[in-house]
Amino acid sequence: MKVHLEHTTRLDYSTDVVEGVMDVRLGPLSDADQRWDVFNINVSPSGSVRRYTDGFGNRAHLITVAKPHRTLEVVTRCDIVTSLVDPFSPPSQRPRALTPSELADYLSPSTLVQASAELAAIAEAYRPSAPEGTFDSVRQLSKYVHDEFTYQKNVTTVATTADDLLRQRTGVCQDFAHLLIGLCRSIGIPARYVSGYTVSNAGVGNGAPIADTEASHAWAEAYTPVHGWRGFDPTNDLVASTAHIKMAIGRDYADVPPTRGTFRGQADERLTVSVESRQVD
Amino acid sequence: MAMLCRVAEDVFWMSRYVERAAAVGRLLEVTGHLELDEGDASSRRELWQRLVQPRSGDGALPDALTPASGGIEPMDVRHWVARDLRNPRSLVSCVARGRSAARRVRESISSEMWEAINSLHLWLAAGGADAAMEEDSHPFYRRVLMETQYIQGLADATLAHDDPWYFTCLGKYLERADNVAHMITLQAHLLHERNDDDQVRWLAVLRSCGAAEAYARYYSLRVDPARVVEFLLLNSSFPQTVRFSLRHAWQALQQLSGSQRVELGREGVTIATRSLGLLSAQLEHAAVDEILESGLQSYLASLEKNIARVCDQVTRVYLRDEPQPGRVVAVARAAMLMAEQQQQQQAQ
Amino acid sequence: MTTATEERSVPAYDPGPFWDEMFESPGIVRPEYATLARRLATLSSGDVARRQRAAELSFTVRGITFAVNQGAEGVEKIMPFDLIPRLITADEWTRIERGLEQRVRALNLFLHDVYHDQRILRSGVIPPELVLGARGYRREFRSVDVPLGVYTHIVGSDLVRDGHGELLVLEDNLRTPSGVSYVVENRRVLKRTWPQLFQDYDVRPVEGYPQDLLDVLRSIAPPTADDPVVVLLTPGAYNSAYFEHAFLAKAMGVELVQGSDLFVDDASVFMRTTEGRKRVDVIYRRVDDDFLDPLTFRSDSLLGVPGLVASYRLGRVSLANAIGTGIADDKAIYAYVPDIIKYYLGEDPVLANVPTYLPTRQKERDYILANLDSLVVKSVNESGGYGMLIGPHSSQADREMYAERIKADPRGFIAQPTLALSRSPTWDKDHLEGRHVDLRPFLLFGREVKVQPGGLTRVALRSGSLVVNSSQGGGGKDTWVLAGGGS
Repeated sequence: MKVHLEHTTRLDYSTDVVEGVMDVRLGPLSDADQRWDVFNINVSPSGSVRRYTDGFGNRAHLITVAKPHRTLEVVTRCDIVTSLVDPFSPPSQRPRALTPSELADYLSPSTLVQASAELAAIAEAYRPSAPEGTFDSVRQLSKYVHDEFTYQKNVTTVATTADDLLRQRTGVCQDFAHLLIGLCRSIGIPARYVSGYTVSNAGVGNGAPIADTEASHAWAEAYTPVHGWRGFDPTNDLVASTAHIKMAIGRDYADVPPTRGTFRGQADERLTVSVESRQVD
Repeated sequence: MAMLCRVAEDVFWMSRYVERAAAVGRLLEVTGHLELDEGDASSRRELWQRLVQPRSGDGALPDALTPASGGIEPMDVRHWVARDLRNPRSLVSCVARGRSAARRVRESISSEMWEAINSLHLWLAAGGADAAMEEDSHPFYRRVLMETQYIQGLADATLAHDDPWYFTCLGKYLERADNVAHMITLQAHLLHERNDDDQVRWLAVLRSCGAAEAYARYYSLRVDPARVVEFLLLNSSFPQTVRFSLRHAWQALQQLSGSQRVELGREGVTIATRSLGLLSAQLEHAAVDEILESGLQSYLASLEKNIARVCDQVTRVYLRDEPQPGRVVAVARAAMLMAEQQQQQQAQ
Repeated sequence: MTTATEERSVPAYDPGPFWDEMFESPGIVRPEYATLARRLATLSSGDVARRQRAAELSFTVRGITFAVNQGAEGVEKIMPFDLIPRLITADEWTRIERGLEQRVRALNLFLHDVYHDQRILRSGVIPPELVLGARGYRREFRSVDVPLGVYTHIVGSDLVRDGHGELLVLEDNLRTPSGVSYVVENRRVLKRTWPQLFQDYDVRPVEGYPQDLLDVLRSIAPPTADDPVVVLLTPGAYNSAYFEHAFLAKAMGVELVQGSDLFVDDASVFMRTTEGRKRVDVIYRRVDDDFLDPLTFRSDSLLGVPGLVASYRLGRVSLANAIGTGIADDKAIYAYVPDIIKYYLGEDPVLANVPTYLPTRQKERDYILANLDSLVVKSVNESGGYGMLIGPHSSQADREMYAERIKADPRGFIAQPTLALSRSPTWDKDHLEGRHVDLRPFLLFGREVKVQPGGLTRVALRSGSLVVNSSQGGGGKDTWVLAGGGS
């Protein structure tokens, strides 16, 4: 599937600020399952954009606007081709084993996914009896999260942990992803956080842009010995396929927020994000 | 040579505090001296009362020193002006603040300066200084004065005469101009209520500004109020006068703006230099008769206000980062803006 | 006791049951101390006390102090100074230099490996979880190629002597070690207050350190910088080591900056000056990793510079020391340093480790729990002499508490035998008494390794105490490395 995306992040300040610094992880990310053919990033007012690779191998950009400004807008325009049509079939080549570093990253607790007895107690029932059963275990865990927890906006924050969600039982995609990651890790399945987009298949085809109210999306990837890394989307109870586009990967949200930044000045700020996606063919 | 804005600000203030400490020390000594000439308790009180006229930004006076309290005790005033750390203008406060500023920039001033100001602070902060001030006040104030002047001398002798030194000059002379104007303000009422002690009082004003000997040399006359005002405001060659101080402050500022690279092109540079230049020029061409005619008190009030405005402009151009209000080192607000929908990180 | 006519060549002193730096046995001094001992033997206590006061006054007036309470306007204290120097022969120093260089080279190869291919973890020399789960491990810093391949440009390792006189490495300080200013100032003050002591000795100078440091800092500048601008980044005047920051900045002639003086634009770092922005190429940072950049590490940090880590990753600015070096001075990983040296250099360590038991290894955990009364237990994540159980001086309740803590968090602790640290004659009111000492030499690593000939001898001023940290009643001594040829 070929998709065109426009992602706009806009900051409005109540008064002039200077020395805006923004660290963004909005792609591009190319791997076996997706290819970013075009990636443009525009900043206004004009500033500097420098690309670098972060400690997790993600492409990141450091954006700076030194002079006084009252708004800062970052727009990325990308063409992406996704190719994982059937995530259920194992890949042709046996997936490579994880390195000690990957195991440590994706099995250990992290900032927003702390280990806990409650997580372990829930996950235990889903522990695969053989390595081949890992994929199904994760699917069921993903379904569990989808069925047991309620999607609701504005009840959690960027600092909400997996355990918090267990208690309050409502949250957004990011919280669901954290919970699924925590459940997987607690029974020894390496799991990681994916920040990205979903393109809904329904209604596509007439070329009309879909205004996506949810801006960006998040889900989890788990490592299974047979399939390698596969994405599981507990918000939609889906296994990630061509409709899921990855921007960045980390242990949890804290490693890969799409944008974060600072400025100098005594202003209040307002953040708006919008994403438009369009299936090209 | 460029210097950090934060360092420039601390050097500027260190220099102001040292100059202010010297002025407060002189005022205390002279007042203590005058007190001995006063026969009755009420005129002593009145003498000391003048020292607690609050200046803008100084905060509230303690209850015992407010006019409402009735009888002000000279002892309380002296303590307030000399030692009370709650008073930002007390001698001890000035030295402590100057020393804190010096400590923050110790790598940018000479070791000699740092050690001298640190020694003065340690001496004043130690227990013995209290007793010395009460029992043997003359040697005490001598020492304060000598050490502050020593610090200023070290600035001239041990710093390269480039930006940091110009900031010490700017701070010292702006502070001095302000102090001298204020000393005259404290006694300006004498012009209207003349009595026999005037001679002594005006001599005291000269002493408070360290200018008695120089005045005598200039005029070799009886101490005359108009001549004292003229000397302290308008004399061009004695360093403890307003005119001299403003001219030297202006010269320091010109040197600093001269070292500005054109690239900077800040509007403010010209504004600060211009208003200080204007103020300095006014003093260069003023005549004391006109000043007295139009009213000394209002003249001094406007002078003090103008000096304060120049200080403000200087700070804004060199020491602060526009458009941010507050100090240049005022911590940049590190707002974490995380773009997961419109969620705001909640304070925990 | 001493009469005026009696020429004594040795001061009255009881070395006790310890290895003594000055005395081979009661009444017999080591050869290098002979001249000093003769001088000390004829001293009047009034003379020493007078010089002692002069030295203290010099430290006070010059503001050579450390802040006791951080954060608030804390109390400034001078580090107590003992006038009697500690001597190190040329031969022993050569061995120390070789040992430290070997150690630091191996640890830098280790750091590079850990943040790149992780060969040592795959090969099973160190359990991967020990490294990758350490608090000092910085994922954010993986796959960065640092200038010259050097991570730790400034190192201060702590050496101690055991009961047999063997010098051992107690710990490596590879993040932001402090104390070097005291090495220089202790020497300066001793020269001023007691110049006679230096007669008949050829002591190697320590004053060149700031210039050597500046050379190292300039050598790691990004290649684009012709005439690199170096700054020293301090947390501010209330930091306990602020004096040292100011001292080094002044001696090197570089700006002493705070985080708020710097900002990042176009991935480069600039400082705010009275003449506008000025580019910065190298930052000698005395701010911990966690506080360096609120965008990467702790978001509540106001001491750092937003965007600094990205700028560093892009090679637009250099940091000394690099980020993430805490992994190599982790107390548990310390136990593996001999293996690390062997693995990367194929050599045996010149300087041995203090024997160390790790609760993560079952057998050693059993041993530790059975021998808490004779061991020193240290918390892996604390320093400065805090978070420690000194077995022989502990109560039953303390030992039980530590046993529980060790069982609950084996990765959080290590244990070592209680060392009978060597003692050095130290002036106590009116006579000499033995006090335990350690030694922190300072090492610089740029294009080559250079060890400052000296180091900070820290002394536990309380009688019988083994804790030499200045925050807990420790003081300093001047450390004399004697020039070759011997005296």
